[in-house]
Amino acid sequence: MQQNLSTLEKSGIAPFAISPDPPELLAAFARKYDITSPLLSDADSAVIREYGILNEDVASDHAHYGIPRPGTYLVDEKGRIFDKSFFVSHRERESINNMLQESFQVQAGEHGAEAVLETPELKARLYFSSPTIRREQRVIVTAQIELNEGMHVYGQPLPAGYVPVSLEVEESEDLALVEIVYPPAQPLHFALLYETLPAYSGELTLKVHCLGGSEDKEGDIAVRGTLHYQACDEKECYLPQTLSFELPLHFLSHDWEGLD
Amino acid sequence: MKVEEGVESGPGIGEVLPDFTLPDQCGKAVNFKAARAGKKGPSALLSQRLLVRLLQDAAGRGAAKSVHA
Repeated sequence: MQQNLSTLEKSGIAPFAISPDPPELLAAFARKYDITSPLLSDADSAVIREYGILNEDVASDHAHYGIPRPGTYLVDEKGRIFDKSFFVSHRERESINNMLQESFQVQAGEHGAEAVLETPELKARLYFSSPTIRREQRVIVTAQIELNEGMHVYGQPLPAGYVPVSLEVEESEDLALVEIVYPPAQPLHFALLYETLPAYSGELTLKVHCLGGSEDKEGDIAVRGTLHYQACDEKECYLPQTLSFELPLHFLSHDWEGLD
Repeated sequence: MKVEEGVESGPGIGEVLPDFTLPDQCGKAVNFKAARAGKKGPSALLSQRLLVRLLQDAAGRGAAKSVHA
């Protein structure tokens, strides 16, 4: 937790944590884990209720009644929310790297090792948002694609017979897919085809949001995937291509001491 | 960032997060708005489950490891 709070602070983001624990417990916790960022005690869950983030799945006679849904609000200097994430379970959460990359476009720390794909039509760099993952933690595979001068690749939706650019990541017991995000394609007139089709030019970034498996484990895993595309320039439409890649990811056992 | 479907997530994007005052780990009253006023840039408010529960979990796992050692 302190590492995550420090990462936020180093990135110019002031972190505050709120929980229903009493101040004396927070003090013991802060001493034990050397936490200097504000840990705020909402012992009667008044703020948690006011915000509407009380975990209603916990029965009112249960010892843990009053806990909030796990989440994060990101607010600007005026207190206006510009992003947030909330989950049903405390086991699932955004990695701090994801939060910083997605909401602040900040690369905090190192991302995972890169795979580079190069063809006559494009160059693609692919990497995980973090070199490590823990169970039920979210990470992102990013594909930064630079199309060579004059080249276009198709977007979606397309009529039958054309292949849009797409990114696939193999699922396993260690990694599940949550969502694939494509930027909006622009309509482009292809004189050779007498058609206007959605397409990309220049640079584009594709993102695959993934979720670590539910088993606690430690060790290296290799995540395989493929990039599909069909490119055109003003003279020719080329055959569809499928490029394979493999990205390393280190699975870390749940850090009960660090509470990551 | 994501909000899981159906989960209570409170105020929405674009809204101002309501102000509050709560004691911190030193027992000092912290007003959220005033505390942010001294900072340049954005802030993150993270909601946590009971830390005591986490400590119990950690202790429980430590005990389990000892039993199997």
